[in-house]
Amino acid sequence: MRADPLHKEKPDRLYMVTGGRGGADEPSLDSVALIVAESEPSPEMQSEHAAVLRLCARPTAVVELSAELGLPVSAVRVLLADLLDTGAVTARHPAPSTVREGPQHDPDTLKQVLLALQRL
Amino acid sequence: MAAPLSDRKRSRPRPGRQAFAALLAVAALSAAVWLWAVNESPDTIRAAVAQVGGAAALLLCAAVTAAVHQAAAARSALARLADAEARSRQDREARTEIEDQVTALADTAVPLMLRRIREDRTTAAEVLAGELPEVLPPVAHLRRTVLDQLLEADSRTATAMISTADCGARIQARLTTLLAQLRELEERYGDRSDIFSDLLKVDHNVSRTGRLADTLVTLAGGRSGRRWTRPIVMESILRGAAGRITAYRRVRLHSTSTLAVVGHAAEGVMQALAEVMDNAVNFSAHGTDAHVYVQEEDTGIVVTVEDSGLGIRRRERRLAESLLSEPRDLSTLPSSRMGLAVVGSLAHKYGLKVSLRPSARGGTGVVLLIPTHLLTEPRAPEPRPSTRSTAESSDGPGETVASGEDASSRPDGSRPSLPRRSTAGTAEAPSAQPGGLPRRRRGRTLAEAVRENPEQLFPLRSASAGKQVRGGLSTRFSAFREAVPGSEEQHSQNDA
Repeated sequence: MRADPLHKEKPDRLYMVTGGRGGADEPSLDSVALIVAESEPSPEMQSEHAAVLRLCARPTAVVELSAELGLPVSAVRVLLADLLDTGAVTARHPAPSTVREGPQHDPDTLKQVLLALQRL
Repeated sequence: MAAPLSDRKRSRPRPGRQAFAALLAVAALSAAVWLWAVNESPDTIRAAVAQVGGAAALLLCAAVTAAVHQAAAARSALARLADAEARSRQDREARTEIEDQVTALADTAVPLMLRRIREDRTTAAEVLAGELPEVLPPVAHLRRTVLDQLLEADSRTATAMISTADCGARIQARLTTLLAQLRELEERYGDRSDIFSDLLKVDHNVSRTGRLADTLVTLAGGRSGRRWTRPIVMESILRGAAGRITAYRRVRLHSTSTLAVVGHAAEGVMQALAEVMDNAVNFSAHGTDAHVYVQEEDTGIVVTVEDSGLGIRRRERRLAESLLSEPRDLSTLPSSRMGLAVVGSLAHKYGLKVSLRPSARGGTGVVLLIPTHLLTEPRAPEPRPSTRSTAESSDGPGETVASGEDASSRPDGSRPSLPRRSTAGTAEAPSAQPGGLPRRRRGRTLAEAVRENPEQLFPLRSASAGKQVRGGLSTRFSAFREAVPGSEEQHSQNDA
């Protein structure tokens, strides 16, 4: 798949999707923040905006949007910033304690899990 | 011409000889008369008669000789004069003939040569041999030289065009690879907004360069650079076109069309639109936008690009229309401005119709009609998110998963030995149905299979948690986290 990107590549480049913004000056949106659509997609919308609204009919995380749309997270953040500005979507930020560095992320634990899995 | 010739023949004897003959005749006559006079005269005056008569005879001889010589010289001069006049008339006629033939060569023969050479260089010489009129040898020589030079020049032009097209095609190929690599980098650094922004700038610059290569190849008569294997929707066409110009931020797209342009023509349409948009932006006042409208009509899709510039003067408009209506190439370009020539050439190639009209915004509107035979419905895999496409049915499965994985696993690279799925594994092995058992391929351990696709372990768990199985990554991660305490227990049991 990756060896032959020409067959799936689109002619419109990412900077056209984001209008040239890379998300550097957008307010940072957590990658697991849940996005909920507040309005219906309309035909004159950019197709990615419409797709976000359709996907966010129920709460969807930013990374999931990124995966579904096949767009990098920064690009999705830019698209979401547009939608947030117009009030078309709202974001529910996750409680920091459950997402940020918790005990689950302990590399030793993960290593043990890996070993256990390999020993199966 | 006959008279002067006979004159010349008659006056062939030289004046000197004529004078000599006359001298002899007069001398003989006067000698006879003198002898007779001397004999007949009385003795008393004989001496005087002899002296006077002798002197008179001598004078007469001299006078007659001189007269005859002068007359002969005059006749000879007259003859030469007539001769010279005849020759000059002859020369004048010959010159007129040559002049006429040279004029004809310039006025009709050379354009005919050019036309035949343009039609087919290889047979031009033979065809022309039958078509050109018989001419005088020097003109024929001139004509042959001109033809040879024209043929040689045309051959050189053709070679230059082929090399240009070839070179341009190579640049295009490299840029296409570069763009694909950039896209990969954009995926990889998709979560680093600073790097991502810079990558987008580079991407734009590469795309702009690509347009230059496209221009070169199109005007050199080469093939368009990229071939799209599927129809491209109008939105992508417009964005693909606008993305190639420098001031893409000043192009405003207004399109609700859901039709697509067939793959083989998509590149050409984008290229033509890019040139039109570039023109529109360049001729608009700084800071104003160019607007692109799309209408679906019975005859096809009408794309109107309107700028808010000053409009164009009549002479420029005529030039622009001529560029649009008759396709040019690098060797027939009227100026170094290539944009409209590219549009004209592509319009001719794909059957697009391009026209100019005054814009409602005050500037110029360029109307480009994409005929129906180049249009189609977009192909099915256009993501229909209402059905919540899983990774397999979405447009780029490998990339979709890869981007998510890269996005969320890269920043904290502190996890050293997480089992990494190869992207090909997930993309090509959709074998782990929800609720199914973990699978392994023959000859491999289960642990290996799991390492390749750990998702296989958890479908039951995530299903039992009442969640829908999604291609999304966070679900998988949460499932992984849920699994962690369990495996830890198992691990400690095993240890015990």
